[in-house]
Amino acid sequence: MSDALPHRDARLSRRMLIGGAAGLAALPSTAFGAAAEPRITLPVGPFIARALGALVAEGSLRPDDAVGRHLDGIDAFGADGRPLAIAELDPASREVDRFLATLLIERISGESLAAHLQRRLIGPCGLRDARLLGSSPVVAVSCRAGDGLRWLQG
Amino acid sequence: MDQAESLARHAIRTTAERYFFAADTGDAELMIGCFADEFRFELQLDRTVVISTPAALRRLLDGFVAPAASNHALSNMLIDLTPEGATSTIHAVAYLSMAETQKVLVRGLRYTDRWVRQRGEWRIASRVHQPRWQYDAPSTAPRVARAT
Repeated sequence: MSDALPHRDARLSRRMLIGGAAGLAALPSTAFGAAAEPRITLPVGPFIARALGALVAEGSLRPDDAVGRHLDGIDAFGADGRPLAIAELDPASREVDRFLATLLIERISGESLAAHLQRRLIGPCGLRDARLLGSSPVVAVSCRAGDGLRWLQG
Repeated sequence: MDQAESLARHAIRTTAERYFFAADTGDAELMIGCFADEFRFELQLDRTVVISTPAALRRLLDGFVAPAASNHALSNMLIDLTPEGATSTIHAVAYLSMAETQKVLVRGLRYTDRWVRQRGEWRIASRVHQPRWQYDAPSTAPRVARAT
């Protein structure tokens, strides 16, 4: 489920998401009950990238389609002024691309990003006790450290 | 400058300031009211994103991590009234307090706008939002200087 952050007063310290090549940082191991298994917080970008890739792989989106073709009232262009193609999106490292990919996922799946990630990635990938942090937008996934590291390597 | 031109310039400036107030309060409906019924809002970020409907503008405002607090200061504005409406260029500075970095992002902005008059108000028909420079500064808790 999604844990909503206050819109303009985000008390969750997103500093946890900053730093490290993988954008990975540890949370205190006792933060989530008595299980005491260490947890980690992963940036949501790679999850969005994988979810978008899955929609492309199953044929719901074509990699050479312009992003704007699928979005009402929103167009996107690259640095050269050409319409941005879905294959050019880099949700793992660009905030604008995370926004655009989120809109594409929600448009194609008919679900919120949180619901889609929960159904398609979080559960099936064995991320036990995973929680999505933030709602507008989702900013991170908190999960058991071992599960998260396996997911990153997978 | 006759009275009609003076009133038009004042009304345009008022809408420009209302836009910044909406940005700093996160008021999507107030911001939408600054735009004409048909509009084009181009944001030149690391991608160029073009917004053209109120629903898309609402989604844009929800789609990015909002600063914990912000202040958009209108520095100067050049308005040219034209037979069709008006054009303007705005220079502004945005101070964005970012919770995740505990820094204040200071960004110089230029807005290139085209204005039309609808239902008695001057509204933005076309806006190009262009960041021109920026820097980060350490954030500290607000403090009030002690009176001496």
